Amino acid sequence: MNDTAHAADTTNKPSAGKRHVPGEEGVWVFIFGDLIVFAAFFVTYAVGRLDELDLFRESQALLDRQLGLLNTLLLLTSSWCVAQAVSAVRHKDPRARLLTGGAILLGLGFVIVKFFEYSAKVEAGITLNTNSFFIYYYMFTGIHLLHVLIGLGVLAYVFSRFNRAGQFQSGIGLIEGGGVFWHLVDLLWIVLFALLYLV
Amino acid sequence: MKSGTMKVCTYMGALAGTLLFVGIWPLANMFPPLAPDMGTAEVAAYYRGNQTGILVGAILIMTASALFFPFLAAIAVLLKKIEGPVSPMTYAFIMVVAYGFVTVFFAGLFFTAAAYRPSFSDETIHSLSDIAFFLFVMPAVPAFVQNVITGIAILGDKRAEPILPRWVGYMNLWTGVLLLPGCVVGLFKVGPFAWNGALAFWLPAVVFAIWFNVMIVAMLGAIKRGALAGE
Repeated sequence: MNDTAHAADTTNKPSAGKRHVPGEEGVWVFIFGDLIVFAAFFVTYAVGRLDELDLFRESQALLDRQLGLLNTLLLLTSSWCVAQAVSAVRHKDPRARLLTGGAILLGLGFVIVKFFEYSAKVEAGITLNTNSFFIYYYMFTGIHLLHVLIGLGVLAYVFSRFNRAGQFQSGIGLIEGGGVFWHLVDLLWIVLFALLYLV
Repeated sequence: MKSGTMKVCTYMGALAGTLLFVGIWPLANMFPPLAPDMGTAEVAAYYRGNQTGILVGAILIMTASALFFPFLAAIAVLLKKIEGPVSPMTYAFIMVVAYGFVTVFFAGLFFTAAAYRPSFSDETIHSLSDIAFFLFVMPAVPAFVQNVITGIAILGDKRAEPILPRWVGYMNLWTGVLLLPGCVVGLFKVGPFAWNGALAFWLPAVVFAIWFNVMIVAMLGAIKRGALAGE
């Protein structure tokens, strides 16, 4: 996607002297837009929680903190892999391909854990309309999961731009932009995890 | 001069948006929407008490629905210019908006039907009213696809100076994702994801308004620059 925007950037290095914005400026329209909206989500949740504090506390106790923590670790590690992959591409290090693949696998792990977590909840009779807390739980984690899937799609595209020797065939902007989005997904999960599972 | 027609089509979008807003807000008085958990008798009384306002508002809403199409056509022309002869995104855009925006017309039609015969039973009026509101909020689904298509097409522009700026492409992707909470309104009668909720109604409404205005400005900019000329 970003190939042309950075076609001139054949050195795969941020242009010296000028301040470098990772990805391209446009990606940040999406990132900041998303952050604003998730902020609105979190405020809505906080207000709703104050209204029914006891109910929210009881319901929150039903969540599986261990699975939540596992998913946090998976996404954090995945994010780290992407960051290392970006740096590897900058240094023309062929391990970038492996790191990107690792990030994708860890992201898939998140999706699988989420699947088991949802199934356990449904099996225990806890569904979308059980109470107002679980509306937030399913909807917020569901919308976040959609972000994870989009992010995995972007990372898969990034992965496909490596050749067999591990050289990156597109501009650095592509992997940077994908990486920035993946970090956003990670950041949103950490806030969600804290809000829903811990507080 | 083709750019004149393009400008008129773009402004039609602004006109349609204004008509829709005037129709649904001061006239029909359905903005914000009636609460989904409102009692059947109350809903019926609301339609009986505000019959003329709703009927006139519905005319504006239906007119707006039709006037959105020249505007959408102008977007399609720009997408076609971006894509060139092989233009799957443009065709997908045309098809998905063709049914996505028709729902606005049907929403107006169901408001009319609900207000038309005050002697009908409360349940009948309530059912018609429900359909009208679903027609307003549910199209989040085609709207999501429409925005993603637009975003991908804009970002696929290989020109040194793209027809539409790349950030507009990202804004379309953002809009698409954020309209999505609108598609779950059938599951809830109260709370943030009901059809009058903060996240399923207000957020998509604000995001749609932003998208709409940004698109108009970006399109007029492209037309003024002569982006459609040449090649």
